[in-house]
Amino acid sequence: MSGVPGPPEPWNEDLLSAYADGEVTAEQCALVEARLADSESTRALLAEIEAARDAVRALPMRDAPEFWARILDGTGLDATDLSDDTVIADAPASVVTLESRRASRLPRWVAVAGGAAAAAVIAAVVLVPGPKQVDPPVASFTDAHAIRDSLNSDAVSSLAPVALQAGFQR
Amino acid sequence: MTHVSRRARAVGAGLAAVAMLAVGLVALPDAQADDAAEVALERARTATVREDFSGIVQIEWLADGNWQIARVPVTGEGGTVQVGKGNHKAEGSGDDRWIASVSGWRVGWTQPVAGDVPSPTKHWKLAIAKGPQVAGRTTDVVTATDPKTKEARLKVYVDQNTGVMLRREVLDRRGEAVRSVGFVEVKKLGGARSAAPATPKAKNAAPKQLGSVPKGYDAPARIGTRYALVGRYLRDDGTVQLYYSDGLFGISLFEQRGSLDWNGLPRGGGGTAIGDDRGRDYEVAGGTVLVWEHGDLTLTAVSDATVRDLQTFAVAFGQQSGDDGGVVDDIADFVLGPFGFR
Repeated sequence: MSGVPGPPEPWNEDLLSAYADGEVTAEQCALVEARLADSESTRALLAEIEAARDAVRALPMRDAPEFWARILDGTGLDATDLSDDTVIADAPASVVTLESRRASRLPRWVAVAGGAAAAAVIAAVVLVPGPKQVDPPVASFTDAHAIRDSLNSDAVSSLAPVALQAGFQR
Repeated sequence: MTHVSRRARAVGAGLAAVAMLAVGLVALPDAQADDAAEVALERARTATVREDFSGIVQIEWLADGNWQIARVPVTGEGGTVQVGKGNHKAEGSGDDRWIASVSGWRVGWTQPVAGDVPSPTKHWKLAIAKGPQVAGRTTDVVTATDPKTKEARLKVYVDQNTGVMLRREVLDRRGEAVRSVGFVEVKKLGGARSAAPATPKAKNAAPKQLGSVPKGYDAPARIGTRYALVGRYLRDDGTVQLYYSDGLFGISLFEQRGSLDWNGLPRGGGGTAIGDDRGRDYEVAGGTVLVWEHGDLTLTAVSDATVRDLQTFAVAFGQQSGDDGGVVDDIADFVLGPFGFR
């Protein structure tokens, strides 16, 4: 019975995402390409998935924010240690069957688009410059006030402090 | 009935007239005192332009509970006032001001002031009386009292002969002196006029007058019920300078866009709270200085008013300046705050 082919796989939009990532079997590949040949909407959907994937890949590489380093400090890992296979904690892994996982997850293109949006937000946070820091020249401000004040009050009492060292310590 | 009513009305009118006269007689001396004191203050404001003088001025200020003292020579010739010597000098003539430092003279002001300063009697009760001798001169003293607290907050001693201000004394809310600037030696006062000294050759560093402040800065027309905005200026370092006055005390408020670099501030000073914002205050020869952050602005207020008065001013500024941007800004704070971008 092992040589007998099973029933043809039903159409599932998840296959498009897997196809775009090159993660389909030969049988699934044939199924997707047949569908693409017949369906304008399927071709459009694939184009959307590929655009979202390209957008994510086009994002610049940035150094991780400082808080990420602090998280890594807590794990004892270095950023370069992290990969898909990295196990951060020795928690017992729960077993999820492929069938239940497939049934519960959203279509992969939605996940990719969501990931792209999240990545765009993080990129914006990293790239948008914060307000500059300013260092008020308080001694100069004190002189400037004395000058302005002297125009509306007695010039001697207003200007006399300008003739002194301001008294600020650096 | 009609006759009785007319008579009652006539009696009532007579009583009212007597009462008004009595009130008027009581109020008249106060009003006269206010007027005479205001005239003395105005005369003192311009006396150093009309009279030649020379002497030593002493500046005293209370910092961390200890009195600090410094002295500077002053002269007035032909309407030009000069204070200090060597590389620390300031000079004023008409609407022009110059400051000398180790890098030479620079122009501090070149234009007439346009804004109207409130009358001192608008927020203060003034009184004038015979004062003590100051630097060997006979004085009248003008006392400004806060009508709400009944405490004296400023005393100005003026020369009886020339009207020149000989001493200005700032008092705290308990009526105790915390700062003064005054002559301790008068070598010359009044008499023959000399020619004004030559104008210094100076690099222009005068601020530009603004009709309105640039976007992102705040310039409330009034701070609290007391301080009126008199002028807005742009310094050559990009700082916006606002000048407020209540008629007796002037406050300069310097606004810079950006967050305060706390490590860049001078050492010393005291930590203080400005509503929900934190700040630092200094008491130096040049006055009281308060630095704090509010929204996207770093603010520095300078005045010869007390620290507490500056704090009150700063809190009122926070309440009256432009709002913080509302919900959008709150969300931005929430999202960006952890990354140190707000």
